Amino acid sequence: MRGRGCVVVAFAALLAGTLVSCGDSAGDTLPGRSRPIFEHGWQDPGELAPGPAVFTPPDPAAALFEAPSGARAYVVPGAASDPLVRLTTALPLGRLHEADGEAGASALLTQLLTTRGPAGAGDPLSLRLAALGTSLSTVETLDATHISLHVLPEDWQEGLELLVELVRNPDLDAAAIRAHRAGPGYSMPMAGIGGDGFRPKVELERRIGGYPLAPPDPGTTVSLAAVRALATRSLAADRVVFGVGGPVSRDEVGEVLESATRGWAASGGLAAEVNVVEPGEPATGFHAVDVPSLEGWIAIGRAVGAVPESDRAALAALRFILAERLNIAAREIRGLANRDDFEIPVTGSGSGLLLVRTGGRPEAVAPLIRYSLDELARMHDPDEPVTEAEVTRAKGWLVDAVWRRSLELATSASETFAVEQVRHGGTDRLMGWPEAVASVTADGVKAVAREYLDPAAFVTVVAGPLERIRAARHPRWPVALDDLEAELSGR
Amino acid sequence: MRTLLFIVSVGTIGALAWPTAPDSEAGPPAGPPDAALIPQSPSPPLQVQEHVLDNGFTILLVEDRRAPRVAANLWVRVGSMLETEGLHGITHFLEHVIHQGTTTLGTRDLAAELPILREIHDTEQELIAVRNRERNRLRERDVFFDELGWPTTPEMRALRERLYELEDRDNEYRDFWTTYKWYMQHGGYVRHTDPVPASTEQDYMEMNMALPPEHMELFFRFEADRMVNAVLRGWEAQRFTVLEQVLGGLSRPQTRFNEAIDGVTAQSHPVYTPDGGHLPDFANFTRAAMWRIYDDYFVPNNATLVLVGDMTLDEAVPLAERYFGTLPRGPEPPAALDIEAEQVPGGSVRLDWTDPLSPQVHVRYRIPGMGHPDRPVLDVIAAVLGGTHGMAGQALAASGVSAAVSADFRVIHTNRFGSPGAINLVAHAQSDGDLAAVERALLDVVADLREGRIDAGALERARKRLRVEWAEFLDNPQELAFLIGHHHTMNHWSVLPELIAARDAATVADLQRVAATYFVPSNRVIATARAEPPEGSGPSWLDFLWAELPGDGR
Repeated sequence: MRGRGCVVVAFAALLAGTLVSCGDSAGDTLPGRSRPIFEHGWQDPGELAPGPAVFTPPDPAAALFEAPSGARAYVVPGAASDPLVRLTTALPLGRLHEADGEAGASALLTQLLTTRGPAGAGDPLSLRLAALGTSLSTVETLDATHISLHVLPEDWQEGLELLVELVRNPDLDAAAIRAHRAGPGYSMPMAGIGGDGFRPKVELERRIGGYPLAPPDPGTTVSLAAVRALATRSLAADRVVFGVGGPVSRDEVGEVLESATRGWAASGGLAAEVNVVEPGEPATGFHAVDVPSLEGWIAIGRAVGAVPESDRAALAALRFILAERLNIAAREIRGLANRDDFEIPVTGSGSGLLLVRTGGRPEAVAPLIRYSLDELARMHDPDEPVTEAEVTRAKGWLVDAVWRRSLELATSASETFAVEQVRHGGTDRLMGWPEAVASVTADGVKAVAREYLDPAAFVTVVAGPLERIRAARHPRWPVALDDLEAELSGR
Repeated sequence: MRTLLFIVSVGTIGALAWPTAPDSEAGPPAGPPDAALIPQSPSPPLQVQEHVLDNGFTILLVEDRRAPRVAANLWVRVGSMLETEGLHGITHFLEHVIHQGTTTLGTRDLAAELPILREIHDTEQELIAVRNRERNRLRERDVFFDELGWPTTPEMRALRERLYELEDRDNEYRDFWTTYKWYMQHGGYVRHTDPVPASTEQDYMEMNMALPPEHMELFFRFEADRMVNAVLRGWEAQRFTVLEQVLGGLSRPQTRFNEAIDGVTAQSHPVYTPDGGHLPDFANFTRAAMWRIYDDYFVPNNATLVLVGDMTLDEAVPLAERYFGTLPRGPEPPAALDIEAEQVPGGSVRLDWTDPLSPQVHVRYRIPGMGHPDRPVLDVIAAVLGGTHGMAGQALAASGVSAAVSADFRVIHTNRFGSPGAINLVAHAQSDGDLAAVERALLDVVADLREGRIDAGALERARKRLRVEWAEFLDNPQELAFLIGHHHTMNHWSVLPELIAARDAATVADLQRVAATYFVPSNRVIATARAEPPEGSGPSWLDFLWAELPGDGR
């Protein structure tokens, strides 16, 4: 069956002089194929006319409930037929909330919250969760931690009471705290480039900023007093925010929350300022860590302090554009890596780590560093433009994919609102994000690239089998790690 | 053309009452083997609409109006099980290459590309001929690295270099990542984070994207074109990208151990061949072999589009007709293998791993593939056994041994091929010294199951957990689309609601019967890994392989 239209005719005429017949078909084919090219007159994707966009996000103001205790919740009711309820508690908990002498307390407190039962409870937490057929999902970042669980609609009240109890009455097990020693901060063995446990990322954080950008040093002990002090601040009624999304009614959830949080103490003004990462002055631009592995893993990054709100949307667009360029340069064109990505901080202040993360087989490591740094430099270079097409793509993705998807379902919206409230003190920024993104221009992206992407400020860390990496030369891009080390160390 | 509507209420099967036994950490109380289960509310229903175009292209649709987004999954019945010896991994490689554009996408000047593509084809044909001629002088196991310093000939190196140069020339006419860029710009969301929005396993390849409904035409336009007009651009670069994925897995000692267990689970059955392929085979891949797979299997009558979200069949079918409906029906793809795994002839298989690893015991039993009537009961058994408060966790706690227990399935494919699966009971112990006790406890729990001593509390929690898992699928259109497509590709989508209903209805007697059938020593593999294996591992072939990588100046 063939397509129709003048485009087809033109296309067929174009091919006629060049293609070869496969012998068993009536049409033209590509070299090596047994089937003919399917000629069609389908429109160019840019010519397709989309229907109207119909997304209306839920109203966070209408979803917000505040109990007399000061505990707040975003309740986003779904349809009665929704299959489950997501319950979330968002906490101002993370290394940027730790005061002097509390290094490591946030990670330990999160561990105590999620692996132990509330004090005095008859059943351990895990058995109560198992009875609900669920488990906890925990996301820890520098300035916010959230814990979620899914329950069946008929179990939402029991699940919510359990979640309140979990953060209201933490089991600060003195014996567990005494026995605690901070781990290495990364997970082994290395494989893949995802997650906070990516070893070169942690090694980089330790070298360019140290704690609190980096996890506390291995073996760090945390005192019971430190955990108690942090819990008093971070787990106070007026600092914890809940999210409830699914087939629930706002009134019913309000009643349960009011009852479950009655008598829960507020922070009483104890809440400390959230810390900001203070970028250090790295002594050298290159570090190599010998780790047994089949492959070498790479982190190239720099620490940044607070990022002005006016830069945030352009920086988010920059992240998308640079990640696309890195992946095309390293993966699509050269086959050096499976991924070559760029990340920006997600903290409320915008402070944290700007990071390129990638990795590959030994002979690919040095070229990967070379081409990743080249892409950083190209983005930073005032004479290398950011295209309108790149900016349009970034804007579409930031709003219609990431932002929209975070608010599309009752389950996701309730969680998004709760985390946003803890991290940014409200939801105005979230709801104004499409407008902020819409205002981004190619010049604006270039300006933040000039501000934040100076390659000279970036430090490279390689972790992997160094002897093999140093000896290997890629047959097509024979960059030597020793040469890179000499070049980058001298910065 | 056929349109059918299936509304399957998966929780309507009645359940009889069985009093709850008190949960106990001390050991599983026996329940009567013929008792039924505690009543629970039914699992939510699944409503699937099916429509088949004249050319055999199938559309499965689940309307979900909660959000303005549609999760789309295009499934092709092709996979690593169909690969021949020496070409393991080529289907996954094909998945990457067909995302490099088509005759109308990803190119700025197809006419300029065509002579280069012709020369690439001719050069590869010449390389194949030379390689065949030189074959006996190559060590087959290592030939992947012929261009990286393994024995090769100047002529072969020159031809490979020529291929690299030609692809560099072709790159000048390319627009990289074209479809991905369009998707991202219009709010596309990938099911996983890999830049290729697709996956390939033993019996399927799927392309996925979740889009706002107003941009859904992009998916039909792109994926129909990809199905018939792919151009194998960037082939050499993608070969190494795919290799990186395989190496990423092999970098994990746990992956190597798991693949070794797969290797002894059934004798030489393709379902247990790693779907990413074998490293040495990466030198054997050719565009010619890839085209054969593409031309044989990428036909509309071998594909299914699954849509879950804000779209009706009335909206979907015209789009499908406009794009997929115009594709010519192809010859029916070659018949599936339909072979049974050869069982190990009697006696339990034991694998003693000598590479240092966290101490762990795997107890694995071979089971039927998805679609077999016993398979849902095995889901319940896995949920009963696994987790801290499952029967195995309770038994370990009762015996004073600390270990984390889970139960899962390896190779959930694929009754369509007549292929087996496996259920794994895995316990991670605190120390090597605990392994014997852990293994004993696991086998004791399996004996309890066989004899109907099934803890009522563990069973109730298991059923609740399975219902929550199912609700999580229903709440997530992308995961639901994947689940429906996966079941339809490996068997038929109706297997899925039948599975859920059968899980809800499974009785203690069912659990006992199934355990007694499959959980027998002659059907078992026990694998053990230690932190400090007594012999040590010595060098592996991977060490030899890397040791021979070219050094400085070579």
